[in-house]
Amino acid sequence: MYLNIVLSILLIGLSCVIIGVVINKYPKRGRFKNIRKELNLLELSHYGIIGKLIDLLIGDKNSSISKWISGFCKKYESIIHERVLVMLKLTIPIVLVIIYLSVYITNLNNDVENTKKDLSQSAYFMLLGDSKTSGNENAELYESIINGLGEDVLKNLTDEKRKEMVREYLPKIHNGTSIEINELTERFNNTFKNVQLMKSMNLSVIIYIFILILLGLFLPESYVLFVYFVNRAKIEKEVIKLENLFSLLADIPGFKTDAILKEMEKSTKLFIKKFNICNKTFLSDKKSALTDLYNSVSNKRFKNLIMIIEKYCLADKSSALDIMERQIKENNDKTLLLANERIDVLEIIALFCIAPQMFLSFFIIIKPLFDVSMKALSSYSF
Amino acid sequence: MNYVLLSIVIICTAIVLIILGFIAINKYDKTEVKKREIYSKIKINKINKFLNLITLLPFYKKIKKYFLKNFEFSRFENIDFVVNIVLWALTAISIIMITQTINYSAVWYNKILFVLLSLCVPFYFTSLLFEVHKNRINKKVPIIIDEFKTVFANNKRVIASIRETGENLGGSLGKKFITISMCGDVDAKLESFANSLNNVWFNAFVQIVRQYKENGGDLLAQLYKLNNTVSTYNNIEKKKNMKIIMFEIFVVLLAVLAVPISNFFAEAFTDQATNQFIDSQSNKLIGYLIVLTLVSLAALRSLRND
Repeated sequence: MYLNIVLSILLIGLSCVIIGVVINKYPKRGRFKNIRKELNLLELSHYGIIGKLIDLLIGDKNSSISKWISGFCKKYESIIHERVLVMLKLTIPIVLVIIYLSVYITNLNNDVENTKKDLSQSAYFMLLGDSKTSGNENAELYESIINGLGEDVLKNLTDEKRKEMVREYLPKIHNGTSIEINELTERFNNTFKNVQLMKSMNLSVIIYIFILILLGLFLPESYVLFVYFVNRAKIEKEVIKLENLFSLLADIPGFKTDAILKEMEKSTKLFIKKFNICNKTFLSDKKSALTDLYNSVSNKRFKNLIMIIEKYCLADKSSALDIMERQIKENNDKTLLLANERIDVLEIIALFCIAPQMFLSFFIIIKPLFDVSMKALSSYSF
Repeated sequence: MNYVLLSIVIICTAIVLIILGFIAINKYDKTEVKKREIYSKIKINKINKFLNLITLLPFYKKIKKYFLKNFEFSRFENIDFVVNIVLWALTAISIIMITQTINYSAVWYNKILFVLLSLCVPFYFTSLLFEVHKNRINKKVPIIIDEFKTVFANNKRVIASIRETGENLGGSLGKKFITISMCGDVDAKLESFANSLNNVWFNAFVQIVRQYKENGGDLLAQLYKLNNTVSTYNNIEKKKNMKIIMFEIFVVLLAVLAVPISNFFAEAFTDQATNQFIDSQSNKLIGYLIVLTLVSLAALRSLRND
């Protein structure tokens, strides 16, 4: 199994490369390096051969690939940087194919081993009367026959000639009556054919690898899309929450706008980064911080809310509050009316998430019953 | 042989946990035996230093931070010590799970996946329990505000009414409120409790109370408005967060129980049940199952908005 060795070397090499890059980029905290860095994918994407490759692909802003990727990132408000997206696109298919190949080869070895062990199990029942054998003796017998006669010689023969050769060879290494030896040769022939079938390269493997490469290429994009749709489903509730919170806190005498914005930052998860940036610059320049926040979001209702906050902060407080309360009343009636009828998008996504796992686990639970019925059907002769 | 070892490990951990529990929860009357308390505190600090060594493992510092935040609801006094014990117990459970499951499969990739799953499941399950508990407290927030309002209308004093709401509520939550009212810095304690609860409306309640203490104003009217908004918002929100948590529990249970149930069926109907997956088809199935559970749990976690 040369392929096995080559694959293990490949796996070790890949892990070595990853570890080496990480260690080289982020050395251990030494005597003079007290600042501890965290793993940053964007920095890694500028490094070494990968960085040059990415530069080659999307360095030119006018090329079709870079246009497509930047357009995608802009349209779906990607949380991943463009360079990181390309890096993941390059690395994920390779990793997936390596994992698939190594799993496939271990499975193949496992199958071959099991068929070898099965060779003369029932013959052993007859000889020893022992019901529990590990099958190692059978595998040894198979190996010794193969070693004695040569695999390449046996491969090119027809069934009859192969049986003849084995029948002549077997008494040299195994003691038994002629009936037993006949049965053993029969079994050997069957397992030999099975093993050869397993070892021959399948077309399905190539198809699987092709599918995996396609899947790996579009995995980062699908992740971005998933996050985008989940956020879109969450955004409305979040904005309703923020509107109510604002109208509550703005009514308290002596409660300043920056404190309100800090409370808002605490209570959201979607807009936490945007509010954080706004809060940092708010005390120095109120107007620009709020306009930046206004421009960073595409949701209409949220933009409206920020407009009202701007009015509250820079112009008249009481009129802004009146507008806010009126809008909340209008919107609440709509949402309360539709709350019972509307199917929640999040629930549908959740069901889609757990469906494959549920299906598989039920299949595993039912599998023994299925096997029993299939055996009964196959043993029944019509 | 395996079961004997397992039972020994379980008994040992149980004895250790019982002893530590006796030290942690002092049941004696405090005025009667003060010396003993001081001794136990010194002992706890010594043991805690040893227990804290577990945070040297990777990811454990973040996990411990998360646990400390969530144990804020509990009525334990020495939260750090309790969290350390819980971390040790969870790692013991995951090690037991690894020793039990690693021989299930004969191939390397399934062994890796079993290790991953048995490392993930105990911690994930406890985090889910935290979420369920949090949800239960979140439902109580309007009740807390109502209680506080009625008490405050008679009392007109904040700290005393916090104490009285605690007495009226009862249970662990009520005890928490009483301990908050006895503290020197009530505002800081209330704020840390609100942070651990991470509920928007409770945060707003804390802010309103704080502003009233500093600047005055009409607290009752503001509380009335707060309660109105909470009830309308809860009508929109409903129980959707809880549904996703139930999905998660379902997925974890399926992942853990699918293989044993299948084995049970095989034993009952075919007499061919083995504790090991030898053929590659069943190995592949188990591998797919574990990968799918890990992916779906990650996806569900991102769906839940807390």
